Amino acid sequence: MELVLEYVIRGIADVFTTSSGAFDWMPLVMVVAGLFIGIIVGATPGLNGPFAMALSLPVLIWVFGVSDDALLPILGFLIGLMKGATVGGAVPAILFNTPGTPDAYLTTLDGHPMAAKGEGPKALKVAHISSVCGDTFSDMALFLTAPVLAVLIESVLDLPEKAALIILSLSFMAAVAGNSPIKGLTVGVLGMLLALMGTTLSGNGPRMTFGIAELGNGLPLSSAILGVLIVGEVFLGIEEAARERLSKDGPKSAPALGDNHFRWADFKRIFPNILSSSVIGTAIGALPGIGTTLAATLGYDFAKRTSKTPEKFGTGIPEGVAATEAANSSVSGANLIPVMSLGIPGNFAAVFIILAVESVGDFTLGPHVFRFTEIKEIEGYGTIINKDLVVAFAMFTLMVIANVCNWTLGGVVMRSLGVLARVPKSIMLPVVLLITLTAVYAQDGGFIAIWVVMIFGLIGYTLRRLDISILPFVIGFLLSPRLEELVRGGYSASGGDPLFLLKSPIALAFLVASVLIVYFATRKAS
Amino acid sequence: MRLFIPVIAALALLAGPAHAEWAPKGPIKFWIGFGAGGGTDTQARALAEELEALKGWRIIPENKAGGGGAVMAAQLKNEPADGQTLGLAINTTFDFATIGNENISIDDFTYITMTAGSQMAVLARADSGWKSLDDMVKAAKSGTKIVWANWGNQVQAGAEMVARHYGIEVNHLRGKGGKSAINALVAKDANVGWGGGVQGPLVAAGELVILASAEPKPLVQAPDQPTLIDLGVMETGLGFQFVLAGPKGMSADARDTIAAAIHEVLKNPESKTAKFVTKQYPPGPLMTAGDALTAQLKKNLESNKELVKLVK
Amino acid sequence: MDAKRPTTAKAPDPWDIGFGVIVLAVSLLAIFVWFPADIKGGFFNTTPFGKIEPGDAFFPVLLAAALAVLSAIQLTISFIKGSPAPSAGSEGRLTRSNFRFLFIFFSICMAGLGIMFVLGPGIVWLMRELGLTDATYRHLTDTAPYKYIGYVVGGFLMTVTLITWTEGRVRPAGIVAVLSVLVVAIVVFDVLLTNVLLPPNAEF
Repeated sequence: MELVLEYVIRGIADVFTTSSGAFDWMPLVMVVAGLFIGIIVGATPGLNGPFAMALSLPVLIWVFGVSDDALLPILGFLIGLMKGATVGGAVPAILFNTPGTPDAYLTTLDGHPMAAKGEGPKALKVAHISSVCGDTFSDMALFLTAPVLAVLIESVLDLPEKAALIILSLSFMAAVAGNSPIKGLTVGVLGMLLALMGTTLSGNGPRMTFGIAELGNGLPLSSAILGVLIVGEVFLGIEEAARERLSKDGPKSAPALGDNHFRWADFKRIFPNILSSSVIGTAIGALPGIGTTLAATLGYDFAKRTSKTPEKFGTGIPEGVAATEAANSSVSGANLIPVMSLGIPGNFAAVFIILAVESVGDFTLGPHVFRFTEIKEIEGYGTIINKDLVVAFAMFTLMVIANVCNWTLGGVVMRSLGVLARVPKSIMLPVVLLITLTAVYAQDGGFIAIWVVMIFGLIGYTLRRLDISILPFVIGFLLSPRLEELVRGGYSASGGDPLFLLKSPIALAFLVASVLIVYFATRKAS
Repeated sequence: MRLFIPVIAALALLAGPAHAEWAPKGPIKFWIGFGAGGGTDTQARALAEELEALKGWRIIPENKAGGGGAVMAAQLKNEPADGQTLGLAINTTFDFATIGNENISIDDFTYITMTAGSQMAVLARADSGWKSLDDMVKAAKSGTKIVWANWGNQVQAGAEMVARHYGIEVNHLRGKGGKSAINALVAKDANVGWGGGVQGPLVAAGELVILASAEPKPLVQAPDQPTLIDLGVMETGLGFQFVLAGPKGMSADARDTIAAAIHEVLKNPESKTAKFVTKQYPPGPLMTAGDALTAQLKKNLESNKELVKLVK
Repeated sequence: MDAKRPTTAKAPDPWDIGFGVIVLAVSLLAIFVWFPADIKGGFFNTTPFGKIEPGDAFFPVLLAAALAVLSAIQLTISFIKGSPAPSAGSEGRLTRSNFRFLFIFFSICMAGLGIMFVLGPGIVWLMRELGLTDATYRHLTDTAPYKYIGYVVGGFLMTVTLITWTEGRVRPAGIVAVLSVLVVAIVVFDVLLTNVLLPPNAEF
C-alpha cells in the first residue's frame, strides 16, 4: 500500500517537475490551454474534439519534441482538448439549434426550446454542470477500474488470450457501426495488412514495400492515421461546402432573457438524471467502439422513461439537457479504460492519445503499466522504477487538473462563446489541409508522408461514402504489429500447434463471442 | 550582377577563411539509423549540435529507424556523395546486415569514422546469487526457467549459442532497444539479459552482475569475468561499434575533414558527446577512421560470412 | 430515410458486390503474386538452431486469407439475402458527382504539390543556365528565399484555388487567411524549430 502511495505521489510530482528535477509549469499550462481551446473547438459548429486533437498533435511534437519530458505537456493538452470539446459541444446545440456533433443533437431537443424561452444562459449552466459531473464520475471510474482490470488481465491472459481479445474488440467495433459488420471487419483486416508493410522481426529486410526504400520502416504511422480520420473528413467537408456554396442564415436574434438563475433546487431536480446518465455513459464508454451518440440516446431515453412527466421532455426542461450532457461527457474518461488496461483504443479521441504516446518518449500503454515495481535509487543511473506507472498517475493528475479548471472556469468560458461567429468551412478546411500536409512532411520526413496522407485520406473518404465504419480500419492498423507478435509468439510457445488459439478456453470463448457478435449484427442489419 | 545574389554572399561566409579546407556547400542532413530516444539518437543529436557549433556547418538530424540501421542505409546509398548527407548506424549495419541483402552492400558507402563501441555483457540480477555463467547453467539444469532479454536477431542468436553450448533451454524476450533488456531484467520479466553498455552504473551499484563478456576482450566494467570466446561458446564477439558513413564516392578531402571535426568534438572531455559516450560506452570514444575503418569492416564482413555459413 | 430507398434492399447492390469482388481479388492477388515477390522471409522460418517458427509471410498470409474468407461470406450473404440498406443520410456508394469532385479536388492538390516540388529547383536551374549562380538547389535548401519559394507559391495556389472553387468566388478573406497561415507556418517551423525543413527541402 505504501508503494502504491509512493507511485501516486511521484505521479503527481511528475506533472510539476522536469526529468532533471526543476519545477515545470508546462504541463499545467498546456492542460488549461487545451481545455479552453477545446471548449472553443466544441462550440464551433463543424469542429470536434478528435479533429482538433489530430491537428494539434504534429504541432505539439514540433514544439516539444519527442523526449520523455515532452510527453506530459502533449498529453495534457490533448486531455484538456478532449474534455473541453465535450463541454463546448452544447453551446451551438442550445443557442443555435445546430449540433456540432451527432451526440449533441439530443441536447438540442430540450436545450434549444429553453433558449427560445429566454433561458439560454440557464440551459448552458445546466449543460455545464451535468457535463462536468458526468466527466468527473467517469474519471473516477477510470482511476479505480483501470489498475484493477490491468492487474487482473496480466495475471489471467497469456499470448493467445491477448490475441483473441484484440480480435474480439475489432469484431465488436465492426458490429456497432456502419451498415455491414462483415465489411467493417473486412476493412479492419485490410488496415492490419497495410500496417505490416516494411518492418520484419526476422532481419530478412523490409517486406511488402514495392521496393520503395522510404517505406523500409513501414507506412508512417501518424500520416496514415491522420489521413484516414481527418483528411478523409476534410475531403468530405470540402465537397459538402462546394455543393452548398454556404447557406447564409446566421444565428437568429436572441429572445428576451427570463429567469436564468441556477439554484440549489435546480441542481437537486436534475441530480438523479445526472447520476443515471453518468452511469450509463461510463458503462458505454468502457466498451470499445461505441460512441457518445448511443450514450446520449440511452441516457435521454432512461431519463424520459423514469420521469413522472415524460410528456414534458422535448419542450425545454433542464432534465433533458442534463440527461444527454452527463451521458455524452461521461464517455470520455471511461473510454480510456480499455486503452490503459489493454492498450486497445475504443474511439477516435483514444486513438490520438495512443498516437501521442507512441510518438513521444518511451512510454507505452497496456496492462504492464500497472505493475508496482519496487523503487530503488542507483547512483549514476537514476531510479529503478516502473516509469510507465508514474506517467499513468501523472496522466490521472492531469485529468483531475482539467476537471478542476472545468468546474471553476469552464462554465464562464462556455457562456462567453455565444457570440462566436461562424467560421466559414470553405476557408477553414483547405487551410486545415495545408497545415496537415506541412505537419506530416516535417514530422515523417518527406513527400512520402504527403502521399500517404492523401492516399489514406482517399481511403477514409471512400469508406465513409460506402457507409463502412472506419474505426475498425484505424484500430486494425494500430494494433496489427502487436497482434502479429502475439500470434507469432503464441504459435511458437505452443510448440507449433496450428490450433493454439483454440486450445485456451478463454481465447476460445473470446473467438466464439466475436463470431456471434458479427453474426447477430449481420442478421439485424439485413 | 552576381554580387547582388545573397546566396553567393552567404556561401562565401560559410566557406570562411582563405585556407582551402573542405566545407559542405549547403545544409548537412544527418540521418540516424535508429529511433528517437535511444543511445544512437542521443549521441547523434549531441554530436550534430556540437559539430554545428564547432564548424558553423548547418546540420539537421533526422531519425530513419528500422532493420538495425539498414532502412537508413538503403536510402543513404542513393544520396549524392557530396558530404551533405551522412548516416550514423552501427558496424553490423554494414558488415552483417549486408550479407545476402539485395538492397545494400559494403561497397555502397564511404566510411568516415567510428565514434564509440559497446561493452556487451551477459547480465543477471545480483539477487539471483549467480556469480558466473556456470551458476546460471546449474540453476537452469535444476529447473529454473531462463528468460533471456534481447533486442535483435544477432544477440538472440548469441543467447541461443550459449544455450546450445551448455545444453539448456532458453526462452527469449524481445524488446526495443538496448535499454529495454535492462528494464526487463530489473523488472524481473527476465532473469538473464544482454547489455550493450548502459548497464555500467547498475553493475557498479551492485544491482546487476556481469556473468561474461561478449566482446573479444574482458569488459572494463568486470575485468575478471571471462569472455564467451574464452569459454568456447562462440568464435567472434557480439559487440558493436557506432559508424558514421556517407554514400560511396565521397572525396577523401570531405571524408577526412568530417572525421577530423568529429574527433575534435570527441577528444574534448567537456563536450556533451564525449561525456555521454564515456558514460554509456566505456572506456570512451573510438576514433578508427577512413581507410583503416573500411578495412576493418571488410575484415569483419568476411568473418561474419564464415559465421553465417557455419551456423547454416 | 428516403422513401424511394427501401429499408431492406432485396436486389444485390452493385457497389456491395463490387466491394466484395475487389477485396476477394486483391486478397488472392496478395497471396499468390504480391507476397511471394515482396516478402523475403518464408511462411515458416527455420532458425539457425533448427527451431521452426512463423516467418515474415506468416501473418500477412493469414490476414489475406481472412480477407478472402470475409469477402466470400459477404458476397454470399448479399447474393442470398440482398445487400444491406445504407444507414440514414448515406448513399452507400460513390455517385457520379462524388467522382467529379474527387477528380477536380485531386487535380488541384496535385498541381499545387507539383509546383511546390519543382518551383525552387526550377528557378535555381534557370539561374544557373543564365550564369547567375553556380549553386544547385541542394546547396540552397536552407537559404532564403529559395527554401520558401516552392512552399509559399505551391501552398498558396493550392489552398486559394480550393477556397475559390468551394465558394464560387474570390474573397479577400480567404487570401488573407491563407497568407497568414503560411507566414505562421514559416515562423513556427523554419524560424523557431531549427531541426525540421519545410516541404520540399528534405527531398534534395
